[in-house]
Amino acid sequence: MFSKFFIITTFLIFTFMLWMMFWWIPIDISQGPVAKTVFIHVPLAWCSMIAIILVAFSSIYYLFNKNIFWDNLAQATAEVGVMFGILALISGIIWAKPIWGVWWTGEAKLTTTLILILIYAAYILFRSLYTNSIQMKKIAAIIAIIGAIDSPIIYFAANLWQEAHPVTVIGPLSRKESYFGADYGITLLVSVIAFTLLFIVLTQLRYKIIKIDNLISLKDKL
Amino acid sequence: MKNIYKIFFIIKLIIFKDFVEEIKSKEIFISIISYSILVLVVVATTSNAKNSVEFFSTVFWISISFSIILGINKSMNKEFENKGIEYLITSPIDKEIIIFAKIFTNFIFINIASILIIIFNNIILNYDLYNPYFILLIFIINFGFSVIGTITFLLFSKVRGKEILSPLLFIPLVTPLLMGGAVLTVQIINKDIQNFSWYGLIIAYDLLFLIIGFFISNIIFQE
Repeated sequence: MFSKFFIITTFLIFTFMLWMMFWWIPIDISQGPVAKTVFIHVPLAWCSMIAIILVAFSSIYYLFNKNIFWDNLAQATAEVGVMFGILALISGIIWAKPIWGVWWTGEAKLTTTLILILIYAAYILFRSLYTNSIQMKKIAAIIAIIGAIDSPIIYFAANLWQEAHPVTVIGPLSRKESYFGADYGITLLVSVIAFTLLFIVLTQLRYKIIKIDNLISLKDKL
Repeated sequence: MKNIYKIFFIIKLIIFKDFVEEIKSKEIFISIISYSILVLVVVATTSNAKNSVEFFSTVFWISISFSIILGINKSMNKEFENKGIEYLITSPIDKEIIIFAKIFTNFIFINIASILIIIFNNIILNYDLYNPYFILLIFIINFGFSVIGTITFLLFSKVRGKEILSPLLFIPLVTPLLMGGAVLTVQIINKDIQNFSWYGLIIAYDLLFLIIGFFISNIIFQE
């Protein structure tokens, strides 16, 4: 019941976000319509960061508790997080071409995000090959924690290496005041909420599938 | 204090054992050096690496990192095939000491190979890298390579397909080191080092993974 309510709420907020994004806010003067990619790119990147933090915490909890719930949660969050991360990179590439003139640069933030996705791809590959042993679950947790260590590097990358990527304008590391207008700020907030809800819904669904999968494999063993 | 001497003594013994074995077989040195030189020769004959410092520094670090994967895989595989690791685990030695000893063994192998690669590089591509800043750079990056390489190999040591999985994790993890190495190599060759903070970043990254290795050693060697 709660799950259905959650899915309907997500759908409604997502629809509202799309209306705000395409009809409510005006087109940006300097960047044109492509500036609206911010409402997809930023929430996707935000969700992938949340996923990494969740995977790391779940993995740490699993290493201490040995409770299968945390292991399943780490796996579900990692898979959804990688998907969001890939989409964030793709949306970033689409945004970069008209603004920077290139699809891709060897810039630190981009490269580190790609590194992170590759690390979690290794994590998912490892999990898909070996799921049953407890030691394998522990090793998977270690890989996830190692991957999470790279995530602060991504956040600090723009400030440490100061290259082509725009410096951080939101959050504790921001050096200058945000150039977003109020309407852009509100739409961005709504889009972040919408994507976060979508992330939660997808993770919940994936978690259920993993749980059923584990039960089936356990039944097969018996 | 006595314990510290004991730890160093055990580490020294394990390194000595690996060294004697390597002197007999010479497999690791041959694989690292021949692969790197092969890449440098191909690059020298097919591209303009002699004229482009940026291109050279990238190729140099890529050739070193890939040859190191070969070397570490070779050294660790040999240890598993000869059941060396099994005997070490069953002996009354702390798991942390075993992992540190393996890291330092790989570090020594990689450094010796790197010195030879630098000499060959000077002959083939004519870049003068005999600079204290570059020696320091290669020293700290090699330490990172050996720490991350040993950890990633040991993580996947008990699973099928470890030859595929360990480089899949190794390369993404060493990319910050490669980036720092490439940037600083260009600046060292141009005799204009601007980003000393890179050194700090690389050392911090090395130490971080050394601490991780310390914490996960018990899980890695669990039966």
